[in-house]
Amino acid sequence: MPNFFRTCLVVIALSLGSFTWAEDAVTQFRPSNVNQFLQNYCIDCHEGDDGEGGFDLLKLTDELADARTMDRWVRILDRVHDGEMPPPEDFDVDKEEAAAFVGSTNTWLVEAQQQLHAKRGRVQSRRLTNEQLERTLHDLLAIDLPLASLMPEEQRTDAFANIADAQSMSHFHLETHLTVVDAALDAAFDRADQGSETWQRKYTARDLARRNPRQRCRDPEMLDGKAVVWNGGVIYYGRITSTTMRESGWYRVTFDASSLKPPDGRGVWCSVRSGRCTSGAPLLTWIGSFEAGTEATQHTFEAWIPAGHMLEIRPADATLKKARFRGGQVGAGEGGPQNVPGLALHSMSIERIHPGGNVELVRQHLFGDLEQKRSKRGTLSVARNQPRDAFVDQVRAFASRAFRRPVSDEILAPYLELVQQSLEQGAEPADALRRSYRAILCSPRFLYLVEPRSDSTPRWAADRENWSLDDFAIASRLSYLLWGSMPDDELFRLAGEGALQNPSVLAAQVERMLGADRGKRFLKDFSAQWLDLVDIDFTEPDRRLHNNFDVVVQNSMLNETHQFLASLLDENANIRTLVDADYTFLNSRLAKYYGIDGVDGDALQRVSLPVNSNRGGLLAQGAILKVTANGTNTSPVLRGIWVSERILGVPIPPPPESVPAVEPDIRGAKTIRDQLQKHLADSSCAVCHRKIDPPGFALENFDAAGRWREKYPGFRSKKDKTVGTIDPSYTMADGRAFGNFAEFRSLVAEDPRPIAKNFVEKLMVFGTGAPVDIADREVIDAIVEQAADDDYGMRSLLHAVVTSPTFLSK
Amino acid sequence: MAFFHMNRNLDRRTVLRGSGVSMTLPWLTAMRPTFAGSNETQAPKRFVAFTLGLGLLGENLFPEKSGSDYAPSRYLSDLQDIRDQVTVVSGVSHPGVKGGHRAEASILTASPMGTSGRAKNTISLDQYMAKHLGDATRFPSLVLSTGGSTSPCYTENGSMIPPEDRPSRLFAKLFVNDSKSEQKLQAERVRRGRSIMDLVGEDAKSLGLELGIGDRDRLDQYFTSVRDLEKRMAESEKWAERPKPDVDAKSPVDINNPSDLIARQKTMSDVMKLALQTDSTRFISLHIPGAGGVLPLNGVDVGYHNLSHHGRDEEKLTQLALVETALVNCWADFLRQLHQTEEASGRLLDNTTVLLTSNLGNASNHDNRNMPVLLAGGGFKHGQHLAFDQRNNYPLPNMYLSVLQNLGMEVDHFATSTGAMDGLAS
Repeated sequence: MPNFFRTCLVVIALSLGSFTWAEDAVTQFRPSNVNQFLQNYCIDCHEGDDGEGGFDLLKLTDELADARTMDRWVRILDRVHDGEMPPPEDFDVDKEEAAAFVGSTNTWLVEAQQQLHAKRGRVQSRRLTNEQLERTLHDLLAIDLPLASLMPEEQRTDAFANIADAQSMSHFHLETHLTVVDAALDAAFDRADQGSETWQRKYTARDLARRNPRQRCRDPEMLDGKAVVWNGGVIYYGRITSTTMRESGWYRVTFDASSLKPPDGRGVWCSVRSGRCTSGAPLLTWIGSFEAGTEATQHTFEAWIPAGHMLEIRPADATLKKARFRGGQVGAGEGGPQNVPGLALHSMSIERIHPGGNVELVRQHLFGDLEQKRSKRGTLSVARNQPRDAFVDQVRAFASRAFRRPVSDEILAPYLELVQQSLEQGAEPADALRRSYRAILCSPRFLYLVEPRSDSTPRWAADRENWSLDDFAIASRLSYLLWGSMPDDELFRLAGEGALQNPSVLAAQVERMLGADRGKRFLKDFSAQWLDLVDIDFTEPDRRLHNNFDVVVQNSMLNETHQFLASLLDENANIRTLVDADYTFLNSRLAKYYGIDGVDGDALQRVSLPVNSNRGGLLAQGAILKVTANGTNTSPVLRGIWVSERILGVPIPPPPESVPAVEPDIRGAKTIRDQLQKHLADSSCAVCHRKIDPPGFALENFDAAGRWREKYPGFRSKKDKTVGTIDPSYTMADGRAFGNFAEFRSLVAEDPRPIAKNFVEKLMVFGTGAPVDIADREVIDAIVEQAADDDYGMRSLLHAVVTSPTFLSK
Repeated sequence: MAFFHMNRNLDRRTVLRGSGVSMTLPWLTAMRPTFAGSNETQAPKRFVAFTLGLGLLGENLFPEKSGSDYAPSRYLSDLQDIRDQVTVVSGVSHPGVKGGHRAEASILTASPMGTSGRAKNTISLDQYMAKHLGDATRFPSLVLSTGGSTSPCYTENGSMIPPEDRPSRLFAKLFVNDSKSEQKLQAERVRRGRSIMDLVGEDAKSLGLELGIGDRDRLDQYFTSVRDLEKRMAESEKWAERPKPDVDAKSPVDINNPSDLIARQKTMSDVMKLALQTDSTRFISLHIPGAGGVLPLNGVDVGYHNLSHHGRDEEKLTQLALVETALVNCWADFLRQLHQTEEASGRLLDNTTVLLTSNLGNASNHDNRNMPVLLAGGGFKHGQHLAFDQRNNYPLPNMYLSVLQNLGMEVDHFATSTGAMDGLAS
């Protein structure tokens, strides 16, 4: 039978070829020694529908143009390469034979993948993500209203929302896109109509407090000339009715506040939120937090506040004693005698701001150099009698910015015709332009990142078959990577000069862009997806189990991680610091939550951690610990997979169909360790769980809300104090043992290369919109190898990615 | 032996099955619903899906005994008056579908999404019906939710259809005629929208020529979307001219509390019944996602999502059962309403298949097997507990196939179905 298979493998592979990708078919078949190896070591177990792990070799074809077939082969290659397959306990594989298999398979797969890249490009037109679309419309029109909330929710695949192959498009998308475009154009044209408007209101303490001191309600009460809110649990207590906004917009809120009856030596942490604050609409939008001290200090927040929303400012510290009030309302004078901490507002000022730009900028984007006339009422309009060329120039300017590259007459013609037609039908010039802009913003040239082949082939690409990008495509890749939005004037200018093919110009641009205000977006955007921080709100930790957790803590955690990442990038720190930093960023509230003494104030500050600290490094940060748990309990499996895939760059395939999921059981019968122990006995489970379980167990001392714990909740025994004690010790896949989280962290940080490689891979995916495939490995390995010269600095890695052939090719 | 493999794999039907339902099968295009004539004497057949984000506790839902003389489980005990209208099914799930909450996307598509990031969703059951039978009504389908922006309804190319979650807005859409000037404005807007679609469709074509073959595939998807939207705009122009049906009901008051799932489900169900009764649509899905908040029910003080992660905690299990009983009972009230409504031939429930299911068989550990399934109405023979193997599940897509066939559609598979459902007869 075995000899019979040798030929059959190929015959079957041929006959089952994929139908859909015929035009891409890769012509080479698997090398003969590859087949021989599969024959000798694999076919016995992986044959037929009941093949081990649900894998049937007979169904594996040579159609590498089919992504799933390619994935299969890559997995076979990797598992043989890593010595996981054939199972070492069952086979003594000849080392040379295995090496030859790995070599031939690798060459075969890489060549096939390169052929595909040469034919189709590595990534095909990717659509702007919701966030990118929102920001691009903001920059294009100098507006600032939230638009992403109008768009259909998008899915993330392998963490990222911008994977071109996974993006979908349908009539629903287009229909909502039209709505989004209309909302954006409405905002811009309305604004262009207005004069240079300003709005500001000042509030005394009396303005902020309830009008009628005898009425029981939820607004602050007047006490000694200040508007006072006590610490209490009543919903919307601390709402300020007089701050209800008439118009949706961005506002700058500035107020003076001090604490009342503060807890020993601490300030009173308070939250600032906005909402309708009526029982029918209970949702509140987070604006920020601050710590009030005994002396009045000034605090400033900037936020989008929808019409009808008012501010709610109140003590928000779950560790403080709460006052009790009857019937969900608060009467003046009821809180004071209860001896709880409180907040006193002295005065406030609210001012309308326009982060998107001033009116002149809006008009510049919409009307350019077109002549504008001022009416008697003072409003501006576009003059009707102007040379046709003036309109042509403006539509061309708008389309070039929208399409992110120069626009030829041919492409422009239909959009121009819309203007022409409208003008002939007697439309106002501004309306005529608007119709054309509406169409331009629905064009695929706007919605998708268009990356045509460059005409000139730069030096570094001479030996590659890949497509090198033209300058304008490079400008867009850069700006969407670092800013999440369209290129600015300088990038357009450099692209026009053909300067972006020059690595030193690119490097200088990366520095300029990171240094700009919007450069702060980069790490936030990237980590939101890479580290799942976008899900920080997904669960609300169970109050009974996590009674010290509150919204202020959650936001401080998120800021901690953001600032930490920013510090690594700023200092070009060795990427291993990601895992084993001896410092972090804390404010007084988060420090208290973590049980770290000596941190004062509400601003996050860099705090050095003692050698024996359990904190330090990403894996010990609350935000990471929270997004890797479900709010109630933790799972070493889920956290283990997360650490493997997101930090260590070890992909974990899903479990075989036949395995039941482990059911969390907190009644105390069995620890998770007992349950997972079974995996090690079964070799098909063990192969992945050897990698998953070590980081999973190492993190067991952190609960679902990021606090350190010694015991599992629910395990209590008066007789035996050791019951339920967490045992974080384990052995790494490579055999090195660790006794606790700190030791695990040191082991991981010993070798920065896997962490660097993972970081580079994730950046590459985020920056190009395509998963890393086997043909990308050479480039990525080279980047990591060269990074040794720069001590694996995080910023150097970013530079290396941006100037790599992969990033600069289609 | 190997040759048997080969033969089997070359079988045409298997090949078609492997390529998914997104392929237009020749006999489907010619297919006509039996009731599409202008003089309808027979009431049309409809389908309604209720989908839950957080599952139902199997131990409280599934009766111990199979067949028709089962003793009612805890959740079914209040449904005894309509027992002969309901089938409870245990031991079923979508083959290969995993991913816990992410499998919400697969409730009605049965499509395994995988983790490679390469898989795409396919058409959901309701949209499949709407695509082939939906043009008889003003709205080909209604995609609804009790809150939030996700639905389990997907188009053929795997795009999620965002749901409507405000009953008042739905009511206005269904029954409130726009003013003449509003109608005119609307028509003008549609006309302009169509001309834009025309323009950008052409632009997509020319862009395709500038780019390579891979990009052309991607732009083709865009182009198809443009054409679909144009078609829909043309349809809506047509319906815009006809008056909307009169109903003897007031616009509902929306429940603002996002945690009050039951009241939201109830309010939406009432409008859904009106939509079916007026033949405004024939295919509806209502998604009830697992909100995080505390439901305003007696005895419940822990958030719903949190309760679903009960970890066998007695207190949480007790509270979870209170929430789930209320959900199931509210669903049963919808059935009773349909049962009490007479129409041309029989009762509304006899012509409407109503499904209740969830992607989660066990929310506590995010298991997607042993999905909770209740099926009612539509002219099926009900009143039984179809019990399949809880360890080795029976494919739920088989039920979807049975439902499609029950609508009069000549199909022989849906997603990963292996045939019509055993034990479910019309």
